[in-house]
Amino acid sequence: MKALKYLLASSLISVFLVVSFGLNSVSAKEAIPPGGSHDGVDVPQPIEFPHNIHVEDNGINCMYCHTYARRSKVAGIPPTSKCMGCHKIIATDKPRIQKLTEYWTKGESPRWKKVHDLPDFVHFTHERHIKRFVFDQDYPVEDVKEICAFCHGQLKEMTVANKVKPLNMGWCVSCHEANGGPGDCWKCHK
Amino acid sequence: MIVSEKDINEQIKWAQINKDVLRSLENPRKAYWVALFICVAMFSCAIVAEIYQYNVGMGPTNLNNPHMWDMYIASFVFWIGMSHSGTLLSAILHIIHADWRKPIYRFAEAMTTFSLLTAGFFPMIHLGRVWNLYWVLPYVSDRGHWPNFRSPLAWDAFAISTYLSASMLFLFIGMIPDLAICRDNTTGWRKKLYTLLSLGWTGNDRQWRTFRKTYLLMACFLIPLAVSVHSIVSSDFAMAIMPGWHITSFPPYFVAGALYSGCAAIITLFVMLRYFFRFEEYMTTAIMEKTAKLTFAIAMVWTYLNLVEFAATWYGHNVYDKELLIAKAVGPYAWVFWTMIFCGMVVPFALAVQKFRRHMPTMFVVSLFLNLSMYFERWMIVAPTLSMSHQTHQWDVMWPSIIQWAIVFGSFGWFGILFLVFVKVFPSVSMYEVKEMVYHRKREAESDEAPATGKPNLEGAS
Amino acid sequence: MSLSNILNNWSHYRRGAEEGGHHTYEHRWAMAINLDMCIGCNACSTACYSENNLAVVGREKFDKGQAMHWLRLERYWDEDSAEKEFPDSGAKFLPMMCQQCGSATCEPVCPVAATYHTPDGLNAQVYNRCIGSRYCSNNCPFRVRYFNFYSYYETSWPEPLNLQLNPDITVRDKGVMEKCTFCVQRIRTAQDTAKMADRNIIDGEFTTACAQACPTSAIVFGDTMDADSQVTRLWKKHQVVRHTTKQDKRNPELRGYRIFEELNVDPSIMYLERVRDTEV
Repeated sequence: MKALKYLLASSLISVFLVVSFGLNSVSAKEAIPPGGSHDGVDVPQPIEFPHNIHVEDNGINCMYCHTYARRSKVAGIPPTSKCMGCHKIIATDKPRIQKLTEYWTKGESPRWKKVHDLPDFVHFTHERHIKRFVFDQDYPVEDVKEICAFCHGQLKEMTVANKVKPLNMGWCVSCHEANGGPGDCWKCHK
Repeated sequence: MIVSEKDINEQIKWAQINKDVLRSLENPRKAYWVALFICVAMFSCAIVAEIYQYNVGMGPTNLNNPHMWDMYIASFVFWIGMSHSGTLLSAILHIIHADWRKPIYRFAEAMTTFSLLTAGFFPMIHLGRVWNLYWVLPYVSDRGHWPNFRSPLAWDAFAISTYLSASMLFLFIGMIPDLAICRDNTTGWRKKLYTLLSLGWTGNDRQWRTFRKTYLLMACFLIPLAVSVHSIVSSDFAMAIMPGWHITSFPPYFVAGALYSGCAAIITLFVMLRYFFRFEEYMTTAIMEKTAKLTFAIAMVWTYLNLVEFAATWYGHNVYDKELLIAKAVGPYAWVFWTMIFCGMVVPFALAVQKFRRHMPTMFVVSLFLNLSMYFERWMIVAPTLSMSHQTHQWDVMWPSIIQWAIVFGSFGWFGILFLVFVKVFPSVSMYEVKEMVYHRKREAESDEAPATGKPNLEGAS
Repeated sequence: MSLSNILNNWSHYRRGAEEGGHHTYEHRWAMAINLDMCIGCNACSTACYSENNLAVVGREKFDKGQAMHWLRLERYWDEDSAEKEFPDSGAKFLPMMCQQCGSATCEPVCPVAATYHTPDGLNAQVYNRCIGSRYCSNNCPFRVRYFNFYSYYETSWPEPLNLQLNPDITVRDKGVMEKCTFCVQRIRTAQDTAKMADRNIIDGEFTTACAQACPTSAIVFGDTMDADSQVTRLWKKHQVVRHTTKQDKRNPELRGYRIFEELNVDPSIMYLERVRDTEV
């Protein structure tokens, strides 16, 4: 009876060890998106930008507008000139576009509000993440929205962007552990 | 054996003990309210200062780059030290069967708990971001982050919380039979309170047996805990690399210092309680004499350890340590140093004189001097090291600001409030243990009258 | 922290400092400061203020010792300076900042592990983890850790001065300890740039603000893991080695030394002693 107990205990421990070792040795090629969700509050924007139309209906790549994502720390909000590049001609009768044109003629930019706002003490770089998950593993660039969705949710289903992932430290760390990201505090904290 | 004087009158009746002790719970005299008011006023000073400090930051305390710690940490060590007396009296003396402790251990025990409650405030007050205090505790967080188990401050958190809960439990357990007596003699809200707290104590044999065992077990648990707590507090300093802190003898030195300041505080409170509650029958001069002798012995241990430390520094030829020692003696903090030496090493010799030991006002004054010396000792450990550490460019002299003074001052008020409320709500002299003591003394007296052949009563029983 | 992490780290941890410490270093950032070239102009300190969002505390608080200069210029005089005339009275300058010790005394004492050793050999200070117990500063023999005794962000950068703040580094609030980071934000940026181009960091690709601002190039910053870097060559030239409490130089005439290395803190900054014209 006693031997059985020891056997049970030791097998439990070894299973635990195997599992925890296993978690760390996941192949670096496969990207494991972090789980978890978050009910973000609506952030009212000056113009109700419909992500779904651009992403889903028109199939525009995220990095067409958020063009700095692969080159810098921030993804960037497109300048109004980029919007007008298309909307001088396309859908000029829609009220939102008319509002945009109004800004354009006045020579102003709409004051877009930040939705995915990390605290000031966090250093996050888009370029490293895009390189790691897209370019380094030859992920098709046209499907990059699936990678963006790791942290930003499915924008193809939203109009105005909403924060749907927690974007807190525990959440970041879970993904870093699963995908072999840096575990050093000072890599992200500044 | 010649007993020069009885430490308790063995003819005292049990009912008289109950009556005398319960009288201390009755409506207080005016002096009590005055004392309580003063304590509350002192405490409010600290509250105001703390609110200000919380809102503005640590700046107004005068702390600066070399002096990152000052009076808060000194007071922390001081109050932790105070708490050791209760454990000494109640647990250690309990185990070695020194039963003269019985009339005085209850308030010493209460002192332990309350000074721990006071000490616990200081690490919080001195934190720059006190609202994140809980990060020191090892809780499961989604960040996968733990406290740093190598840090003496993290050890402090464990040690103090363990010691506080254990000493509170010990105080409470030791009070149960007395709470039952109170329950049987009171009405109104007090009755409800004591009924709740006495846990259905009826005083039957089984309860007494369990009680004895639990009490002994707790006493055995508390002794190593008390030693380890102050050793850990000393490692706040001894683990550091700073001159004057990086000393191997710090743990025993701190424990000795703790017992010393605790005993001094016991003498202070002894005299006060004896005077206020007219406990002359119980807190007799004989008990005071024994306490004073104990204090003297501990004072000599502390003096010895101090001299050892000086000698080790002097002959160790560590340039930083030696410079610091000289600076302590002749530098800007010299008057604190010499006051500490005088009050801590010379004044205790008054305890060696029987005439002084038996004179309460003298003992009161002497104990205040000892307390002062012990506070200065803690401050002398913290401040001069920081003012004269390795980097000569950063040498600086700093005196604490009024904010620090107010908070330290207020901590005495807080301790006073707790203690004053305690002595009015709970019996500050252990009734059942005094009865035991009276009983034992009576038997001894009877056996002395009988032919001296060992222990006649036991023989009779067998 | 998974169990495997703990087990892995433990096997690193058991190795002593003699075997390179308990870390697998990716980089080992270090400095060499030539005191002979230092003219005490304070440009390094000023550069540090603007690079790292250091609060300007004002004269009164500076006098009280509550200044926030991560890099301070220490001025020393010869012991017999009073007897001499000015040029010979022996003023010496010493730029003193965090020495990024290999076995730092500040690290083990932090109760919440806000300061710890990074794989770059830096002593990290994670501001948002700091609870302000100030033990690290007390245990620092160089006393180069600075505490935010007040909230400075409103007083130190009134509008429009807030626009000069460096976005790559936090503005610290009251109750937080801070110190020289070897401009970690620049290191991170350089690392990101290098990784994006799939190459290693090139020596001299970036430098710290103080080294950049120094008009006489007295401060040299670099990676000692890189055998060809300028700082490695300087360390070698002056026969200064790590992991020791006493330098055993073949040529004792060489000027390189590390401050307080006898305390076994293993500093990462090598100073080159000043040579006096009168002595030569």
